[in-house]
Amino acid sequence: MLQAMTRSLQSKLILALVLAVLIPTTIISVYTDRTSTSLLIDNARQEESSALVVATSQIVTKLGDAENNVLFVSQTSTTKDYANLLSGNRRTTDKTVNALAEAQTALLRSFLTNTGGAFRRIYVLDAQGYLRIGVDNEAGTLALMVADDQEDRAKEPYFSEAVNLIPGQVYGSNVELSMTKGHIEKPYAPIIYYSTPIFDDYNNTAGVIVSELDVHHVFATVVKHDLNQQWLIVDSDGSYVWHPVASKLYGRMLGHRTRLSTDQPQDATVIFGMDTGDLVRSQERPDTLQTFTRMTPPDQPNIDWRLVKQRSLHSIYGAVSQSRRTICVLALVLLSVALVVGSLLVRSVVQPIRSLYNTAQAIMLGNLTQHVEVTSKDELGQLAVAFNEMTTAIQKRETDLRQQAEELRIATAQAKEASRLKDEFLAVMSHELRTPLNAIIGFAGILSISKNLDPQVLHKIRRIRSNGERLLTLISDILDISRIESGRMQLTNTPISIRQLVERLDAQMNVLGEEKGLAFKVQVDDAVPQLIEVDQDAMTKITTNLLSNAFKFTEKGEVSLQVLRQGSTLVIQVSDTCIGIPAHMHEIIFETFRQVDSSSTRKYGGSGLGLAIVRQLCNTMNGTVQVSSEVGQGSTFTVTLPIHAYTQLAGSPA
Amino acid sequence: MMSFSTSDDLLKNWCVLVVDDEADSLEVAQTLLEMCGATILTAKNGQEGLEKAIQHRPRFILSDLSMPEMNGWQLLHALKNDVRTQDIPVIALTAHAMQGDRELGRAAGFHNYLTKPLVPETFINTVLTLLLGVPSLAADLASRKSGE
Repeated sequence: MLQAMTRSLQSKLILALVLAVLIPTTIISVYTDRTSTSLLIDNARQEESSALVVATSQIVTKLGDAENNVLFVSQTSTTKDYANLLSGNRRTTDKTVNALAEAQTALLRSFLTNTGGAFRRIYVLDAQGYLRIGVDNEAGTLALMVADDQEDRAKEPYFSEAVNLIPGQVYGSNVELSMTKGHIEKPYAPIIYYSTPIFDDYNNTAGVIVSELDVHHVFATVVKHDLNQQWLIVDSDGSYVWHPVASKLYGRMLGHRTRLSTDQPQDATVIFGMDTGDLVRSQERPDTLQTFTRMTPPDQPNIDWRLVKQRSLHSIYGAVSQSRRTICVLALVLLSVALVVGSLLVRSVVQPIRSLYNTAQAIMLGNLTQHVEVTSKDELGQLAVAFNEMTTAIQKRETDLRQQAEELRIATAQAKEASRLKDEFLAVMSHELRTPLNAIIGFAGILSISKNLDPQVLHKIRRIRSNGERLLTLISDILDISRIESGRMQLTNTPISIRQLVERLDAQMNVLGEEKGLAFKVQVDDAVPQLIEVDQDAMTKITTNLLSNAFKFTEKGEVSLQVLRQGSTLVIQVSDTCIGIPAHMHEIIFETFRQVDSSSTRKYGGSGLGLAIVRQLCNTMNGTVQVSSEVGQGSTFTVTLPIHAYTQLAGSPA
Repeated sequence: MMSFSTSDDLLKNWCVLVVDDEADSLEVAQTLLEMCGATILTAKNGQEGLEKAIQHRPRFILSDLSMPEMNGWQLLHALKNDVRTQDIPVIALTAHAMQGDRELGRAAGFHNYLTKPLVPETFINTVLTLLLGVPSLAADLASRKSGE
């Protein structure tokens, strides 16, 4: 039980601590992630579009330079001389044909050298399109092109387009693959032809000077691939001019079908749909930022490329991932610290609680001297102090209660003893009073039934007798009232006949009536059951006492006894024609030792206990007794008792 | 209702034992019984009563309860334990009139229980009516009773 409780409390607190660490950490990291991610993407888009602008301008510059360089070569005097040579003019020079050719070759060589390897070849075609002189840059080694190359180049655009140009104009091709003797060279060498016509002194087109710009050379320094980014240069038909995967290149020239539109159909639509833009997490490149722009160098109508830069988002989010890792490590560290601190904290909380629990158990088992060790001044310490104070208070209260219980026990014992002594005293008094009364009444009786007695003596003997009997009644009344008031009057209900009881009383009371010359009327209503379950002694005592009083206080007239049934109650009415009882005395007469008038005590003998006994008996029997009387009008005492008809014998004759 | 008319020969030839330590009480009972013609034996305590009962075998015994030497209870016990006296009805005549006393007496074996002070006019009638319940006396008593 205890184990389970502390375990549960412990785990609850530690769980709360863990949550307290994890929830804010998670919120912070998610928030940071979100904001920094969108920031980084925005930055990257700007970066990438700048990079595109730079790359485009660099390429355009290089292409323009290439164009200008060729134009420059075509306009040198050496070339002019060579043009005259080609046209057959010997006007201005005395140089030999060989010298002119050599000078031109030297010019072309210096061109290749001075342009830093940007061109693969430069050569001069005559007006018929035949190669007359050329220099080839084979892997950094300059070689004369075979002059007897009789390959017909007249139909090649770099000739046919250039040969009709006016001075100062240059033809630029699209990317082509370098050819040797009518075949595509391998490895593939992408080039752009720049060609321009050369003119003799008569401004006749003497031939065409053709250069082959090494596209690799142009692109290599500008659009470099690395792990995180790659460049695509896409031709207007969607084929790749520049792609990290060699096999995808040159679809147009090689006649294969690889295009941007086959690799990324949806993206291709977007990229070809606008001049500049970007794609973030496109469906086809979900982890890539793609920036693109259209590139059309001025005066080079054959070139219409799209530069596409693809950058992995991973490289962009690098910083975020880093911070994510940092946050995770931080969270783990925080978690460990929280667990350690939490465990210590929980122990410092649970330990005192456990101690309180153990003490509470001990106290429950009655060990009130057990106290909790107070180890701190915090709330738990205060609780422990309060607990100890409570224990002390309980201990004191228990001691007090024990003392009170003991006092009560002694008092009860004393009361019981007193009661027992009282009973014993009453029994002894009863016995001791009855013994002499036996002699008084006995001898008086014996004398009164003796024959030949002087009437005056007889009268006095009767007075002795009746006084003795009054004394006896007094003793009985005192014993009765004592018994009733101490609650020891035990009623035993037996089926009795009210009519027989009334008959006996009629006989007894008639004697009293005759003595005082009073009429006595008795009536029992027909509705009264034959047998009633009631305590006979109590019933007799109630009726007798009421009748005795009536006869005692009535000087002339009559006394009547009426027994009725009202619903479930039995009503006994005793009426007389006495002097009456003033209203203010109606309650008092039922109190112990009271008569209407203390002076009447002398006039009418009696203890004053009779009515008190009647009331007490009625109360004991769950009934009531009331008086209605006016001075000079007599009085009526009405007793009502709950009736218990003895049904088994009801209806049998009394 | 049966009753006995108190005449001086009502209890003729009857021997009755009255036991009481109190002389006045003893005399009241004795006088009332003698007025009906009975022969009375008296005893001042239980011991004396027991001896007279064994010796004279009275028709019935009236005995007080509180007495020195041997009280009424002890006397009853002794009489009931003796074959010579165990049939003699013993009626308690005592000033012990508290609630419950009567039941105790009846339970102990007294034929009946009368409380002091006795009522002189009805005393004999009451005693004899009680004795009607004793089979050995019933026939004799029936011949002496009068009236209905």
